[in-house]
Amino acid sequence: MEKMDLIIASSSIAEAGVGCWDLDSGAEQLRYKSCASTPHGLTCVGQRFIASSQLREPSATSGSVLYWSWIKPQAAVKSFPSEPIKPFVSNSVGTYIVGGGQSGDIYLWEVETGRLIKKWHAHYRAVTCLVFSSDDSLLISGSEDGCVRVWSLITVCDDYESQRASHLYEYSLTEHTLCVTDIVIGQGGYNAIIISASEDRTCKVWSLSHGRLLRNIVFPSVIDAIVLDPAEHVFYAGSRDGNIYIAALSAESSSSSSYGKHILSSLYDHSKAVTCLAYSIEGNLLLSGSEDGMVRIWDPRTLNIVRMFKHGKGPVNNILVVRRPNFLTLGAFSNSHGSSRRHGSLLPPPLEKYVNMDKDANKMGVIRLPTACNILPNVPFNSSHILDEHVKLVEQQGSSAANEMEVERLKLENRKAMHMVQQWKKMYGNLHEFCVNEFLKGDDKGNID
Amino acid sequence: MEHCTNMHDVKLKPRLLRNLIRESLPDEDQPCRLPRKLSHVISVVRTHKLLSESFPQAIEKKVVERWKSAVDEWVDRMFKLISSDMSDNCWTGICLLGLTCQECNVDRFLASYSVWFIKLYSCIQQPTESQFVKVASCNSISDLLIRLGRLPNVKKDGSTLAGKLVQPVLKLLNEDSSEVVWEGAGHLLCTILTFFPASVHRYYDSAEAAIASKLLSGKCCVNMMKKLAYCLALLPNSKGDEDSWCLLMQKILLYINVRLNDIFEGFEEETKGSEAVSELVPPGKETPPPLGGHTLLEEATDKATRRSVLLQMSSISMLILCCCKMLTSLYPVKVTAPIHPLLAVVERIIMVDGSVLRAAVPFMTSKQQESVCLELPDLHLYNLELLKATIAGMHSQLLPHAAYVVRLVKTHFKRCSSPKLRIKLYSVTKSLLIFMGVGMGICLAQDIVENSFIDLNPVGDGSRCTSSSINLKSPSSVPMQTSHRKRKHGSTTISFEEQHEKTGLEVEAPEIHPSQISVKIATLEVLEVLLSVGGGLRFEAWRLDVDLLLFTLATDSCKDGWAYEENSAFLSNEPIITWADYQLAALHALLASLISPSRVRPLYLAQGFELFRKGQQEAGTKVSGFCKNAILALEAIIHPRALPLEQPPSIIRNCSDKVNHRFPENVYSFGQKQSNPSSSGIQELEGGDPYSYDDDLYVKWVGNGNPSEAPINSPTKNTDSVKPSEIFGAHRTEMVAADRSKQEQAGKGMRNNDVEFVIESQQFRGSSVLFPEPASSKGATDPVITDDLDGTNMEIDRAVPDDTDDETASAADFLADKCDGFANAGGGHALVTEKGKATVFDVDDDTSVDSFPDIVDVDPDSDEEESS
Repeated sequence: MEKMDLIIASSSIAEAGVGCWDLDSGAEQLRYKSCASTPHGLTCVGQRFIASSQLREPSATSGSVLYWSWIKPQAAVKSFPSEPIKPFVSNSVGTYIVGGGQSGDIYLWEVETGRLIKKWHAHYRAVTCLVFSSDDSLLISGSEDGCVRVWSLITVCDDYESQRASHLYEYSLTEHTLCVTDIVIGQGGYNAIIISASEDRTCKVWSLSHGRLLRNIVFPSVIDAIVLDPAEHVFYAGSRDGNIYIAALSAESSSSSSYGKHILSSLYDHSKAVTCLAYSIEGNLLLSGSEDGMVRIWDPRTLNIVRMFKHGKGPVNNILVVRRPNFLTLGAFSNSHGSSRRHGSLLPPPLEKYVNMDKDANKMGVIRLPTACNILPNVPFNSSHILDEHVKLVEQQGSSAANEMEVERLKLENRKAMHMVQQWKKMYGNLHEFCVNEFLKGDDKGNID
Repeated sequence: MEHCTNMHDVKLKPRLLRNLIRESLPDEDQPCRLPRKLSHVISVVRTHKLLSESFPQAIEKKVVERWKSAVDEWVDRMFKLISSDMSDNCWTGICLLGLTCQECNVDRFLASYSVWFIKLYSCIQQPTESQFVKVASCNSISDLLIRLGRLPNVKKDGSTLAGKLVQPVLKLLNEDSSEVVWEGAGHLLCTILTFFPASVHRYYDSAEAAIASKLLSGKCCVNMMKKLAYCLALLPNSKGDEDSWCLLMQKILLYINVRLNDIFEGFEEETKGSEAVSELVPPGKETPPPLGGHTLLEEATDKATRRSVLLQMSSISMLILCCCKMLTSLYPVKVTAPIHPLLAVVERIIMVDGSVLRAAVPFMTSKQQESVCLELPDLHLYNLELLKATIAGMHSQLLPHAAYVVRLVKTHFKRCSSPKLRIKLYSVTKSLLIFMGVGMGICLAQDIVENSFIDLNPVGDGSRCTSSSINLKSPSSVPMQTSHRKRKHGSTTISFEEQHEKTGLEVEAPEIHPSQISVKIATLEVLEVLLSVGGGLRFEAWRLDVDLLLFTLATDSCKDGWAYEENSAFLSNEPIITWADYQLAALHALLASLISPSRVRPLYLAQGFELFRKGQQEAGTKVSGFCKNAILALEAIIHPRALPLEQPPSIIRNCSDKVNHRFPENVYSFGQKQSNPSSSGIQELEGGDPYSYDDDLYVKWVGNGNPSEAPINSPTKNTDSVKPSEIFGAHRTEMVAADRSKQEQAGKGMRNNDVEFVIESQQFRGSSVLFPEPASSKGATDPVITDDLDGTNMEIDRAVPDDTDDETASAADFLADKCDGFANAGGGHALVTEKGKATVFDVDDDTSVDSFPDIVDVDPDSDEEESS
């Protein structure tokens, strides 16, 4: 099977842009220009395009969000939300984007129309990270005030309910004492676990179903990035001291680890602080981005580095593992043919700044019906069935059509019979004539005799 | 006469075909009286693939020619039949030509489809032909187009051919008087729209008018109308742009709403209708032309007063069906769907339940009300279908409207009471839950649970047999349940027999109505999904009740059912099938309730397990298949593999240093530095599979699983005959050095053996279980690290023969003194080296061999894991 994973990385320095590599071969693909992304501010929207919220001057009053189509290095769509957006993430199918603002507001946009569906005040201080649950129905947000909140997007979007309820969130988890730096959520519906990392040097594991703290792990240094092992056996925590610690979830841990309770081991490469982590399930590889501008790829089984990419001078602050879009076959980045251009460059409109109060706009929905052309429509052949049906009808002699045909047949027979009669008549005439002639001849003879 | 080898012989086929032509086909100039034979002809042609002309690789040319000429002859005969004066022969020929289009070889089809098309086309156009001929030619042409549409390179040709057809087909629809012909024409139009939609582009408006007029005329049967609705839904595909889709949708919704105004007059507030219309056509925007053009609308409004409610309702239902189709079928571009108006229609219809507004009472005759009430349930059913289709159409864009949908579902729960509606409603709920997961669970859990209690509670059922409802009368009668069970399994055979008799009697009593069983099945399915997809965040409130309900239902259903199934041979099949389905649904739901995580250990685990175990014995049934899976799933709960997060790490850890063994040669130079120190404790990382490492139960049983890990994991390491100590290089501790001489002896002693083993182990990687002795020898040459001190020592005491006790003890002491993980790791090596060596050197010692056989069982697991 062809390996399909791409790595996408961005940094806080605009010059470095967004780097894109083939995970399997290591070949660098197109580099998307001028992106100074915020932490947790890079997302790939439903495999269709790359989007990132941009770092802004402290004085800036509006935010900036850029879209890149797969095939062009320049940013294609620019949006300017009403305030600087920090974390920026889309749901798995790429229909919604959420962004967390400096003020603690969360914005929910519809990608297809750019419509701002909902904006709500989520935290007292800036939102630092956002993550969708695996079924896209819940949103978990972390904030500078150390608070982690779980939102049900259906409830949040329900104007009626949201006015009645005293608070919108499902849970507010407030055990962290300092800024929340990263959040991940595991698999498994309401039984999932949430892991949050904070500047208070802890990672906390929560149960989603009860909103309860399950495990608190104290690390030697501040953890800025976490990623779950796909089977949720352990999780990896990238710290500011350059280590990637491996902490136990369902794995058993001894109490006497040199790093602390529940910490099994670490990966270390003398790098500067680890700023972001990602996991490629396809290759079973761990990816880390560091402040030194390198992207390191680790084999989590051997704890060795298998590959390194140089992203740029500035610190890498986002890494994504993305499945290569279907229309981008190998090498299609440079010489984009017609179809990929059509697929790749059709970007949705920019994100709206304000919630549209016009009621009518909210009544329509842009929907994408499936367009799969490879599967042939399943229409059954019918003629033999029709034949069977007609045979049945004919046998029953019940239908008018059958009668019609029967009449036709009888007519035909009638015609044939008439024809026959004619022939018989003719033959009779002939015979008669013959006989008469013979008789007359005989008579003549007799007369002569 | 030359004989064929068997019935599969290719030589046979041309002969069979010729026989068919000679004996079973009508002659072109003889009136045919052999319709029975025709069905037989079709089945023979199909089973023997007589027209396929597919040959195995090597075949005599003669046979190829013979078959080819036979098929030629067949086609010839078709043509003669079609040209025959007698319509009987003509339609036979047409139908069989349609069959030929399906069955013949691709090359032949490509070579002759245009000729065939012309022949069939002429049959459609002749106005005086009999109905049979018209219908048959419509269907045969449709088959030809289907075949054409599936071939990749003839799309363009197909499109031109299809384009020629559109007008004659529309003419048939408009002018012919017989429904059979309409159906044929409708079928052909569907095919054209499916495979060559662009060919209808030029005739879009007339096509819309023709279809709509037929659809709204109320002259056709339901199946025909469904087909037409389907055609109408496909029509926008012919243009393939956003506007035509949206316009058609708008027209249909407008029509539905206007018609509803008439029908619902007096049943709903009058403002509702105008609200709905204004929502569809925002003020200031132009009203779209009515569906099917102006003339049609006028005609329809004229008739509307005279038409029966039934007709109006049925045309509304059909248009709803058309909307459903539009929302769920393929479309090339994204479209702006009027989601809110769609949901508003759903709401409008569900809100009318046949009760008359007080203000309208004086103006309403009871007959009027009766006629509406008569047709309402069907309309509601289509309405639910529309809700379902809207949800499906919105797909991932549901979120802004989800709250509205949730409210609609809740309203439906209150208002739907007939079994059909409830089944449909449960299926809508189920798809919502699956689709929106936890978030939807939060919204709907309460309603689902309440309603499922209503639908599943057997107390309300008058017809329910008594013996089965004993356990269900009060939902809190578990003790009763268990005592009941005890009695049954106790030695008191009389009571058992008594009971048996009793149930036997009960079976004769009237059963639950099949439709109610279906409702129960639908309810159980929703509960299952609720439990498995997302029970909501705070589910404790209802969880215990639901668990109990599902458990009692499952036990109850199966107790009855297994007795019932034995008698079932004498009874009719139908209810038994539903009953079996009910059992299956109950068992499905029970399993979900048992394995769906909750804070406590499932209460009915043991009884449930027993139930599944019994079910498994019903060989050959679906139930037994499911029970087998259920037992597998429950087994994981009975023997917990993955440890819950909340518990402190327990006793023994089963570790072995695979990390060190698998040093790849080609790693980054600096990778090596940190991999050793970190080796302590990451063993669990291996593939993240909890089953092979965390199973402390397993570890306990096996004794010490460690030594076996290494040999199989690292056969390649051994080929280079490096002393194991070298692998660890600088990290070796002094203690290991002290033991080196012994170890080297071991290495030498085993070397020959070693090489052999390596080869074997590579050959039999998968089945390495077969080599217990080599495995232990491996243990000697290739030390295994264990870093969990307490655990390992304990195990070693058990596993290693007496004569090594001293060494082990000393190793343990040493290890105990070390405090940093790094040294521990090194110490670990030494420790196990000792042990391994001991076992190897005492090959003649029975105990050493005996102590290891189990260990080897560990290997396949870990081995697979690594190679994967």
